[in-house]
Amino acid sequence: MKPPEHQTSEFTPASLCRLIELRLKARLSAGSSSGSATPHPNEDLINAFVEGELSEAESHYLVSHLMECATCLHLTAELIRHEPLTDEISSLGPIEEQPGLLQRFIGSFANSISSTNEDAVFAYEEKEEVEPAEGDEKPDVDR
Amino acid sequence: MNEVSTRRLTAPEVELLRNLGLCLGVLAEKHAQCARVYPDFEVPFEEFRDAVTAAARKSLIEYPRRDAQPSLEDLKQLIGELKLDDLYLALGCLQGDERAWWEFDRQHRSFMERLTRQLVRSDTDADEVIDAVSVELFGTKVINGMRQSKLRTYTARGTLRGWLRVIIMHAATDLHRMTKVEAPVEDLAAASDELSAQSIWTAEESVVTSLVREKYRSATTAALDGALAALEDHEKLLLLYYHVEGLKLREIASIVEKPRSLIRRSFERRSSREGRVHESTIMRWLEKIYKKVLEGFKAELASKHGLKPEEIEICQAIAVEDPAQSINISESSKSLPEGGS
Repeated sequence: MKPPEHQTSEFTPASLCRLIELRLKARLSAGSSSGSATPHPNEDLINAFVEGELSEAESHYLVSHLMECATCLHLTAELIRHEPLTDEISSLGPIEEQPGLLQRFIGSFANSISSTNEDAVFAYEEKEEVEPAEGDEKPDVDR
Repeated sequence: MNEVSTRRLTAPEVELLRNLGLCLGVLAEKHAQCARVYPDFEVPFEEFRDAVTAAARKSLIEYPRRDAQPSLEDLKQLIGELKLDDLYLALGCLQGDERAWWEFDRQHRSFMERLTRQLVRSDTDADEVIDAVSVELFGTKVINGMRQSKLRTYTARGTLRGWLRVIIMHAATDLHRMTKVEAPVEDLAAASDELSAQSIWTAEESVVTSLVREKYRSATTAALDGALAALEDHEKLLLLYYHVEGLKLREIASIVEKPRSLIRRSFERRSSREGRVHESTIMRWLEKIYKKVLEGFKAELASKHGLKPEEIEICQAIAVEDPAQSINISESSKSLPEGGS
Protein backbone atom coordinates (compact mmCIF):
# COMPACT_ATOMS: atom_id res chain seq x y z
CA MET A 1 0.00 0.00 0.00
CA LYS A 2 1.42 3.38 -0.97
CA PRO A 3 1.18 6.20 1.56
CA PRO A 4 -1.14 9.03 0.57
CA GLU A 5 0.54 11.86 -1.28
CA HIS A 6 -1.54 14.57 0.34
CA GLN A 7 -2.60 14.34 3.93
CA THR A 8 -6.27 15.04 4.25
CA SER A 9 -8.70 14.59 7.06
CA GLU A 10 -10.67 12.06 5.02
CA PHE A 11 -9.31 8.56 4.49
CA THR A 12 -8.08 7.73 1.05
CA PRO A 13 -8.51 4.07 0.11
CA ALA A 14 -4.74 3.65 0.45
CA SER A 15 -4.58 5.11 3.92
CA LEU A 16 -7.52 3.05 5.08
CA CYS A 17 -5.89 -0.10 3.70
CA ARG A 18 -2.65 0.79 5.47
CA LEU A 19 -4.46 1.27 8.76
CA ILE A 20 -6.29 -2.02 8.42
CA GLU A 21 -3.09 -3.81 7.48
CA LEU A 22 -1.15 -2.44 10.44
CA ARG A 23 -3.89 -3.17 12.92
CA LEU A 24 -4.42 -6.73 11.70
CA LYS A 25 -0.69 -7.41 11.85
CA ALA A 26 -0.46 -5.96 15.35
CA ARG A 27 -3.38 -8.06 16.58
CA LEU A 28 -2.02 -11.20 15.00
CA SER A 29 1.45 -10.55 16.37
CA ALA A 30 0.08 -10.01 19.88
CA GLY A 31 -2.19 -13.06 19.56
CA SER A 32 0.70 -15.25 18.43
CA SER A 33 3.01 -14.24 21.23
CA SER A 34 0.37 -14.77 23.90
CA GLY A 35 -0.83 -18.09 22.47
CA SER A 36 -4.15 -18.78 20.82
CA ALA A 37 -7.28 -19.63 22.77
CA THR A 38 -8.07 -22.65 20.61
CA PRO A 39 -5.64 -25.54 20.15
CA HIS A 40 -3.86 -25.83 16.81
CA PRO A 41 -6.02 -27.80 14.38
CA ASN A 42 -4.47 -30.98 13.02
CA GLU A 43 -2.99 -31.26 9.54
CA ASP A 44 -6.04 -33.04 8.20
CA LEU A 45 -8.37 -30.18 9.13
CA ILE A 46 -6.01 -27.58 7.69
CA ASN A 47 -5.68 -29.51 4.45
CA ALA A 48 -9.43 -30.14 4.20
CA PHE A 49 -9.99 -26.39 4.63
CA VAL A 50 -7.64 -25.59 1.74
CA GLU A 51 -9.24 -28.36 -0.32
CA GLY A 52 -12.64 -26.77 0.40
CA GLU A 53 -14.03 -29.86 2.11
CA LEU A 54 -15.09 -28.54 5.50
CA SER A 55 -18.60 -28.06 6.78
CA GLU A 56 -19.63 -24.59 7.90
CA ALA A 57 -19.19 -25.45 11.60
CA GLU A 58 -15.72 -26.88 11.02
CA SER A 59 -14.75 -23.87 8.88
CA HIS A 60 -15.82 -21.48 11.62
CA TYR A 61 -13.71 -23.36 14.14
CA LEU A 62 -10.68 -23.17 11.87
CA VAL A 63 -11.16 -19.56 10.83
CA SER A 64 -11.56 -18.49 14.47
CA HIS A 65 -8.20 -20.09 15.10
CA LEU A 66 -6.60 -18.45 12.05
CA MET A 67 -7.67 -15.03 13.34
CA GLU A 68 -5.32 -15.38 16.29
CA CYS A 69 -2.61 -17.77 15.14
CA ALA A 70 -0.03 -16.33 12.74
CA THR A 71 1.62 -19.74 12.30
CA CYS A 72 -1.51 -21.57 11.12
CA LEU A 73 -2.61 -18.59 9.01
CA HIS A 74 0.79 -18.59 7.34
CA LEU A 75 0.64 -22.36 6.79
CA THR A 76 -2.76 -22.14 5.06
CA ALA A 77 -1.51 -19.20 2.96
CA GLU A 78 1.56 -21.22 1.92
CA LEU A 79 -0.66 -24.15 0.97
CA ILE A 80 -2.80 -21.85 -1.16
CA ARG A 81 0.29 -20.26 -2.70
CA HIS A 82 1.78 -23.67 -3.56
CA GLU A 83 -1.41 -25.20 -4.88
CA PRO A 84 -0.52 -24.78 -8.57
CA LEU A 85 2.83 -26.44 -7.84
CA THR A 86 1.28 -29.38 -5.99
CA ASP A 87 -1.30 -29.81 -8.75
CA GLU A 88 1.47 -29.84 -11.32
CA ILE A 89 3.53 -32.36 -9.36
CA SER A 90 0.46 -34.55 -8.82
CA SER A 91 -0.04 -34.73 -12.57
CA LEU A 92 3.48 -36.05 -13.16
CA GLY A 93 4.28 -39.75 -13.35
CA PRO A 94 6.32 -41.71 -10.82
CA ILE A 95 10.06 -41.23 -10.40
CA GLU A 96 11.80 -44.32 -11.72
CA GLU A 97 15.04 -46.03 -10.77
CA GLN A 98 15.13 -44.83 -7.19
CA PRO A 99 14.51 -46.84 -4.04
CA GLY A 100 11.09 -46.21 -2.55
CA LEU A 101 10.39 -44.60 0.78
CA LEU A 102 10.07 -47.92 2.55
CA GLN A 103 13.30 -49.27 1.08
CA ARG A 104 15.11 -46.01 1.85
CA PHE A 105 13.81 -45.95 5.38
CA ILE A 106 14.73 -49.57 6.02
CA GLY A 107 18.13 -48.93 4.42
CA SER A 108 18.88 -45.86 6.53
CA PHE A 109 17.56 -47.64 9.65
CA ALA A 110 19.85 -50.61 8.97
CA ASN A 111 22.78 -48.27 8.38
CA SER A 112 22.19 -46.47 11.66
CA ILE A 113 22.11 -49.79 13.53
CA SER A 114 25.26 -51.15 11.91
CA SER A 115 27.17 -47.90 12.36
CA THR A 116 26.46 -47.72 16.10
CA ASN A 117 26.81 -51.41 16.88
CA GLU A 118 30.56 -51.72 17.06
CA ASP A 119 30.54 -55.17 18.67
CA ALA A 120 28.68 -56.74 15.81
CA VAL A 121 30.41 -59.69 14.23
CA PHE A 122 29.98 -60.13 10.55
CA ALA A 123 30.26 -63.52 8.93
CA TYR A 124 31.88 -62.02 5.95
CA GLU A 125 34.61 -63.44 3.86
CA GLU A 126 36.60 -60.99 1.86
CA LYS A 127 37.32 -62.35 -1.55
CA GLU A 128 40.61 -61.67 -3.13
CA GLU A 129 40.27 -59.69 -6.27
CA VAL A 130 41.90 -61.36 -9.18
CA GLU A 131 43.37 -59.11 -11.77
CA PRO A 132 41.81 -60.02 -15.11
CA ALA A 133 44.27 -61.38 -17.55
CA GLU A 134 44.90 -59.40 -20.65
CA GLY A 135 42.30 -60.14 -23.27
CA ASP A 136 39.74 -61.40 -20.76
CA GLU A 137 36.23 -60.07 -21.27
CA LYS A 138 34.39 -58.27 -18.47
CA PRO A 139 31.73 -60.68 -17.17
CA ASP A 140 28.22 -59.66 -18.18
CA VAL A 141 25.91 -60.09 -15.21
CA ASP A 142 22.82 -59.86 -17.33
CA ARG A 143 23.69 -62.87 -19.38
CA MET B 1 -11.77 -44.24 19.29
CA ASN B 2 -9.34 -45.51 21.90
CA GLU B 3 -9.41 -42.15 23.60
CA VAL B 4 -13.20 -42.23 23.71
CA SER B 5 -13.40 -45.74 25.08
CA THR B 6 -11.14 -45.02 28.08
CA ARG B 7 -13.23 -42.22 29.56
CA ARG B 8 -16.83 -41.43 30.29
CA LEU B 9 -18.77 -40.56 27.15
CA THR B 10 -20.53 -37.22 26.77
CA ALA B 11 -24.16 -37.04 25.65
CA PRO B 12 -23.28 -36.06 22.05
CA GLU B 13 -20.80 -38.95 21.89
CA VAL B 14 -23.44 -41.41 23.10
CA GLU B 15 -25.78 -40.09 20.42
CA LEU B 16 -23.03 -40.33 17.82
CA LEU B 17 -22.31 -43.95 18.71
CA ARG B 18 -26.03 -44.75 18.56
CA ASN B 19 -26.23 -43.20 15.10
CA LEU B 20 -23.11 -45.05 14.02
CA GLY B 21 -24.86 -48.26 15.00
CA LEU B 22 -27.59 -47.30 12.54
CA CYS B 23 -24.99 -46.70 9.82
CA LEU B 24 -23.19 -50.02 10.15
CA GLY B 25 -24.71 -51.29 6.91
CA VAL B 26 -23.44 -48.25 5.00
CA LEU B 27 -20.03 -48.60 6.61
CA ALA B 28 -19.84 -52.29 5.72
CA GLU B 29 -20.64 -51.41 2.13
CA LYS B 30 -17.94 -48.69 2.07
CA HIS B 31 -15.46 -51.09 3.66
CA ALA B 32 -16.17 -53.65 0.95
CA GLN B 33 -15.69 -50.98 -1.75
CA CYS B 34 -12.31 -50.04 -0.29
CA ALA B 35 -11.30 -53.71 -0.12
CA ARG B 36 -12.08 -53.97 -3.83
CA VAL B 37 -9.90 -50.91 -4.54
CA TYR B 38 -7.03 -52.43 -2.54
CA PRO B 39 -7.28 -56.21 -3.01
CA ASP B 40 -3.63 -56.80 -2.01
CA PHE B 41 -4.11 -56.08 1.66
CA GLU B 42 -6.88 -56.27 4.19
CA VAL B 43 -8.06 -53.93 6.93
CA PRO B 44 -10.43 -55.52 9.47
CA PHE B 45 -13.89 -53.94 9.49
CA GLU B 46 -13.58 -53.12 13.21
CA GLU B 47 -10.45 -51.03 12.57
CA PHE B 48 -12.20 -49.24 9.73
CA ARG B 49 -15.33 -48.56 11.81
CA ASP B 50 -13.29 -47.25 14.74
CA ALA B 51 -11.34 -44.90 12.48
CA VAL B 52 -14.58 -43.53 11.02
CA THR B 53 -15.92 -43.11 14.56
CA ALA B 54 -12.84 -41.11 15.55
CA ALA B 55 -13.17 -38.95 12.44
CA ALA B 56 -16.88 -38.35 13.12
CA ARG B 57 -16.19 -37.41 16.74
CA LYS B 58 -13.65 -34.81 15.63
CA SER B 59 -15.71 -33.38 12.78
CA LEU B 60 -19.17 -33.42 14.36
CA ILE B 61 -18.44 -32.86 18.05
CA GLU B 62 -14.95 -31.61 18.78
CA TYR B 63 -14.47 -28.95 16.11
CA PRO B 64 -17.96 -27.44 15.95
CA ARG B 65 -18.09 -27.29 19.78
CA ARG B 66 -21.80 -27.09 19.72
CA ASP B 67 -24.20 -28.41 22.31
CA ALA B 68 -26.59 -29.86 19.76
CA GLN B 69 -26.11 -33.55 19.16
CA PRO B 70 -25.07 -34.46 15.63
CA SER B 71 -27.98 -36.01 13.81
CA LEU B 72 -28.08 -39.20 11.80
CA GLU B 73 -28.23 -37.07 8.66
CA ASP B 74 -25.08 -35.15 9.69
CA LEU B 75 -23.31 -38.47 10.19
CA LYS B 76 -24.46 -39.92 6.88
CA GLN B 77 -23.33 -36.79 5.07
CA LEU B 78 -19.94 -36.93 6.77
CA ILE B 79 -19.46 -40.61 5.89
CA GLY B 80 -20.22 -39.68 2.29
CA GLU B 81 -17.59 -36.93 2.37
CA LEU B 82 -14.75 -38.82 4.06
CA LYS B 83 -11.95 -40.00 1.78
CA LEU B 84 -12.44 -43.61 2.80
CA ASP B 85 -10.15 -45.14 0.17
CA ASP B 86 -7.33 -43.04 1.55
CA LEU B 87 -8.31 -43.94 5.11
CA TYR B 88 -8.24 -47.64 4.22
CA LEU B 89 -4.74 -47.29 2.77
CA ALA B 90 -3.55 -45.37 5.84
CA LEU B 91 -5.01 -48.05 8.12
CA GLY B 92 -3.26 -50.77 6.10
CA CYS B 93 0.04 -48.94 6.57
CA LEU B 94 -0.64 -48.49 10.27
CA GLN B 95 -1.05 -52.25 10.58
CA GLY B 96 2.47 -52.53 9.19
CA ASP B 97 1.26 -54.37 6.11
CA GLU B 98 4.10 -54.34 3.63
CA ARG B 99 1.72 -54.48 0.66
CA ALA B 100 -0.09 -51.41 1.95
CA TRP B 101 3.23 -49.61 2.27
CA TRP B 102 4.12 -50.67 -1.23
CA GLU B 103 0.86 -49.15 -2.47
CA PHE B 104 1.45 -45.99 -0.45
CA ASP B 105 4.91 -45.76 -1.92
CA ARG B 106 3.62 -46.28 -5.45
CA GLN B 107 0.98 -43.58 -5.10
CA HIS B 108 2.78 -40.92 -3.11
CA ARG B 109 6.55 -41.28 -3.12
CA SER B 110 7.17 -39.33 -6.32
CA PHE B 111 4.87 -36.56 -5.14
CA MET B 112 6.59 -36.34 -1.76
CA GLU B 113 10.07 -36.22 -3.23
CA ARG B 114 9.25 -33.70 -5.95
CA LEU B 115 7.33 -31.39 -3.65
CA THR B 116 10.08 -31.47 -1.03
CA ARG B 117 12.75 -30.66 -3.61
CA GLN B 118 10.72 -27.66 -4.73
CA LEU B 119 10.20 -26.41 -1.20
CA VAL B 120 13.74 -26.54 0.15
CA ARG B 121 16.95 -25.09 -1.22
CA SER B 122 19.39 -27.98 -1.45
CA ASP B 123 19.28 -31.70 -2.11
CA THR B 124 20.76 -32.30 1.34
CA ASP B 125 17.92 -30.37 2.95
CA ALA B 126 15.40 -32.22 0.80
CA ASP B 127 16.84 -35.58 1.87
CA GLU B 128 16.67 -34.47 5.49
CA VAL B 129 13.02 -33.45 5.15
CA ILE B 130 12.08 -36.65 3.31
CA ASP B 131 13.82 -38.75 5.96
CA ALA B 132 12.10 -36.83 8.77
CA VAL B 133 8.69 -37.30 7.11
CA SER B 134 9.39 -40.99 6.49
CA VAL B 135 10.29 -41.53 10.14
CA GLU B 136 7.10 -39.72 11.19
CA LEU B 137 4.99 -41.81 8.84
CA PHE B 138 6.49 -45.19 9.70
CA GLY B 139 6.75 -44.41 13.39
CA THR B 140 9.83 -45.67 15.20
CA LYS B 141 8.22 -45.95 18.65
CA VAL B 142 5.74 -48.57 19.77
CA ILE B 143 3.74 -47.74 22.90
CA ASN B 144 1.35 -50.32 24.39
CA GLY B 145 1.69 -52.37 21.24
CA MET B 146 0.68 -49.44 19.05
CA ARG B 147 3.04 -47.95 16.48
CA GLN B 148 3.24 -44.18 16.99
CA SER B 149 2.86 -43.18 13.39
CA LYS B 150 1.76 -39.78 12.18
CA LEU B 151 -0.72 -41.62 9.97
CA ARG B 152 -2.76 -42.24 13.10
CA THR B 153 -3.78 -38.55 13.05
CA TYR B 154 -5.16 -38.77 9.52
CA THR B 155 -8.97 -38.65 9.70
CA ALA B 156 -9.79 -38.66 5.98
CA ARG B 157 -11.47 -35.25 6.04
CA GLY B 158 -9.25 -34.22 3.12
CA THR B 159 -7.21 -36.31 0.72
CA LEU B 160 -4.21 -38.30 1.93
CA ARG B 161 -2.03 -36.53 -0.62
CA GLY B 162 -3.15 -33.11 0.62
CA TRP B 163 -2.49 -34.21 4.19
CA LEU B 164 0.98 -35.33 3.13
CA ARG B 165 1.80 -31.93 1.67
CA VAL B 166 0.93 -30.33 5.04
CA ILE B 167 3.21 -32.81 6.82
CA ILE B 168 5.98 -32.05 4.32
CA MET B 169 5.51 -28.29 4.70
CA HIS B 170 5.66 -28.65 8.47
CA ALA B 171 8.87 -30.64 8.20
CA ALA B 172 10.37 -28.14 5.75
CA THR B 173 9.35 -25.32 8.05
CA ASP B 174 10.90 -27.07 11.04
CA LEU B 175 14.14 -27.33 9.12
CA HIS B 176 14.18 -23.61 8.47
CA ARG B 177 12.29 -22.55 11.57
CA MET B 178 14.22 -19.39 12.15
CA THR B 179 13.99 -18.11 8.62
CA LYS B 180 10.61 -19.40 7.49
CA VAL B 181 8.06 -20.03 10.23
CA GLU B 182 8.90 -17.18 12.48
CA ALA B 183 9.38 -14.81 9.62
CA PRO B 184 5.83 -13.49 9.66
CA VAL B 185 5.93 -12.70 13.36
CA GLU B 186 9.43 -11.24 13.08
CA ASP B 187 8.34 -9.22 10.10
CA LEU B 188 5.49 -7.83 12.11
CA ALA B 189 7.82 -6.86 14.94
CA ALA B 190 10.27 -5.32 12.47
CA ALA B 191 7.45 -3.42 10.80
CA SER B 192 6.42 -2.17 14.21
CA ASP B 193 9.92 -0.87 15.00
CA GLU B 194 10.30 0.71 11.61
CA LEU B 195 6.98 2.46 11.83
CA SER B 196 7.67 3.65 15.34
CA ALA B 197 10.95 5.13 14.16
CA GLN B 198 9.08 7.11 11.56
CA SER B 199 7.20 8.86 14.32
CA ILE B 200 10.10 10.49 16.13
CA TRP B 201 8.56 13.88 15.55
CA THR B 202 5.98 13.10 18.20
CA ALA B 203 8.64 13.66 20.88
CA GLU B 204 8.78 17.32 19.93
CA GLU B 205 5.10 17.92 20.56
CA SER B 206 3.96 19.99 23.48
CA VAL B 207 2.47 18.13 26.43
CA VAL B 208 -1.03 19.44 25.72
CA THR B 209 -0.92 18.50 22.05
CA SER B 210 0.41 15.16 23.06
CA LEU B 211 -2.43 14.54 25.53
CA VAL B 212 -5.05 15.53 22.98
CA ARG B 213 -3.44 13.34 20.40
CA GLU B 214 -3.33 10.42 22.85
CA LYS B 215 -7.05 10.77 23.49
CA TYR B 216 -7.85 10.59 19.80
CA ARG B 217 -5.31 7.86 19.18
CA SER B 218 -6.82 5.49 21.72
CA ALA B 219 -10.30 6.26 20.37
CA THR B 220 -9.04 5.59 16.84
CA THR B 221 -7.50 2.25 17.81
CA ALA B 222 -10.56 1.10 19.73
CA ALA B 223 -12.92 2.20 16.94
CA LEU B 224 -10.87 0.41 14.30
CA ASP B 225 -10.79 -2.74 16.42
CA GLY B 226 -14.52 -2.50 16.93
CA ALA B 227 -15.09 -2.15 13.20
CA LEU B 228 -12.79 -5.09 12.43
CA ALA B 229 -14.34 -7.24 15.16
CA ALA B 230 -17.80 -6.59 13.71
CA LEU B 231 -16.79 -8.16 10.41
CA GLU B 232 -17.84 -11.71 9.69
CA ASP B 233 -15.32 -14.55 9.64
CA HIS B 234 -15.06 -14.75 5.86
CA GLU B 235 -14.48 -11.00 5.64
CA LYS B 236 -11.74 -11.08 8.25
CA LEU B 237 -10.10 -14.03 6.53
CA LEU B 238 -10.11 -12.21 3.21
CA LEU B 239 -8.40 -9.19 4.81
CA LEU B 240 -5.84 -11.40 6.54
CA TYR B 241 -4.91 -13.28 3.39
CA TYR B 242 -4.65 -10.11 1.33
CA HIS B 243 -3.05 -7.70 3.79
CA VAL B 244 -1.12 -9.86 6.23
CA GLU B 245 -0.12 -12.84 4.10
CA GLY B 246 0.16 -10.89 0.87
CA LEU B 247 -1.70 -13.47 -1.20
CA LYS B 248 -2.45 -12.29 -4.71
CA LEU B 249 -6.04 -11.83 -5.83
CA ARG B 250 -5.57 -14.78 -8.21
CA GLU B 251 -4.40 -16.99 -5.33
CA ILE B 252 -7.33 -15.98 -3.16
CA ALA B 253 -9.67 -16.61 -6.09
CA SER B 254 -8.29 -20.15 -6.41
CA ILE B 255 -9.39 -21.08 -2.90
CA VAL B 256 -12.65 -19.17 -3.12
CA GLU B 257 -13.53 -21.05 -6.31
CA LYS B 258 -13.93 -24.29 -4.39
CA PRO B 259 -17.65 -24.93 -3.98
CA ARG B 260 -17.51 -25.43 -0.22
CA SER B 261 -15.11 -22.57 0.52
CA LEU B 262 -16.26 -20.58 3.54
CA ILE B 263 -15.57 -17.28 1.79
CA ARG B 264 -17.45 -18.32 -1.32
CA ARG B 265 -20.42 -19.72 0.60
CA SER B 266 -20.65 -16.57 2.70
CA PHE B 267 -20.55 -14.13 -0.20
CA GLU B 268 -22.76 -16.27 -2.43
CA ARG B 269 -25.41 -16.34 0.25
CA ARG B 270 -25.91 -12.71 -0.58
CA SER B 271 -25.38 -12.68 -4.31
CA SER B 272 -26.44 -16.25 -5.27
CA ARG B 273 -23.59 -16.10 -7.78
CA GLU B 274 -22.16 -19.36 -9.04
CA GLY B 275 -19.30 -20.49 -11.26
CA ARG B 276 -15.80 -19.15 -11.58
CA VAL B 277 -14.57 -16.43 -9.21
CA HIS B 278 -12.48 -13.81 -10.95
CA GLU B 279 -9.86 -11.57 -9.43
CA SER B 280 -12.11 -8.58 -10.02
CA THR B 281 -14.77 -10.27 -7.88
CA ILE B 282 -12.32 -10.61 -5.00
CA MET B 283 -11.35 -6.94 -5.38
CA ARG B 284 -15.01 -5.97 -5.32
CA TRP B 285 -15.54 -8.01 -2.14
CA LEU B 286 -12.52 -6.33 -0.58
CA GLU B 287 -13.84 -2.89 -1.47
CA LYS B 288 -17.14 -3.75 0.19
CA ILE B 289 -15.26 -4.79 3.30
CA TYR B 290 -13.23 -1.54 3.35
CA LYS B 291 -16.46 0.41 3.10
CA LYS B 292 -17.95 -1.60 5.95
CA VAL B 293 -14.85 -1.03 8.11
CA LEU B 294 -14.91 2.71 7.42
CA GLU B 295 -18.59 2.99 8.26
CA GLY B 296 -18.13 0.89 11.38
CA PHE B 297 -15.10 2.98 12.38
CA LYS B 298 -17.00 6.27 12.13
CA ALA B 299 -20.05 4.82 13.85
CA GLU B 300 -17.91 3.54 16.74
CA LEU B 301 -16.22 6.92 17.18
CA ALA B 302 -19.59 8.65 17.26
CA SER B 303 -21.61 6.23 19.35
CA LYS B 304 -19.12 4.57 21.71
CA HIS B 305 -16.67 7.45 22.12
CA GLY B 306 -19.19 10.27 21.75
CA LEU B 307 -17.07 12.17 19.25
CA LYS B 308 -18.53 14.94 17.14
CA PRO B 309 -18.09 14.95 13.34
CA GLU B 310 -15.20 17.44 13.57
CA GLU B 311 -13.47 15.24 16.17
CA ILE B 312 -13.93 12.22 13.95
CA GLU B 313 -12.17 14.22 11.27
CA ILE B 314 -9.28 14.83 13.70
CA CYS B 315 -9.04 11.09 14.35
CA GLN B 316 -8.93 10.43 10.66
CA ALA B 317 -6.34 13.14 10.11
CA ILE B 318 -4.10 11.71 12.84
CA ALA B 319 -4.51 8.26 11.43
CA VAL B 320 -3.69 9.40 7.91
CA GLU B 321 -0.58 11.38 8.83
CA ASP B 322 0.80 8.78 11.22
CA PRO B 323 -0.90 5.41 10.91
CA ALA B 324 1.56 3.45 13.06
CA GLN B 325 1.14 5.74 16.05
CA SER B 326 -2.54 6.36 15.64
CA ILE B 327 -3.53 2.73 15.82
CA ASN B 328 -1.28 1.81 18.72
CA ILE B 329 0.35 -1.14 17.03
CA SER B 330 1.97 -2.62 20.11
CA GLU B 331 -1.25 -3.06 22.04
CA SER B 332 -2.10 -6.58 23.07
CA SER B 333 -5.04 -8.13 21.29
CA LYS B 334 -6.24 -9.59 24.58
CA SER B 335 -7.49 -6.19 25.65
CA LEU B 336 -9.43 -5.70 22.48
CA PRO B 337 -13.09 -6.36 21.93
CA GLU B 338 -13.70 -9.91 20.76
CA GLY B 339 -14.89 -10.71 17.26
CA GLY B 340 -18.56 -10.65 16.55
CA SER B 341 -18.62 -14.18 15.17
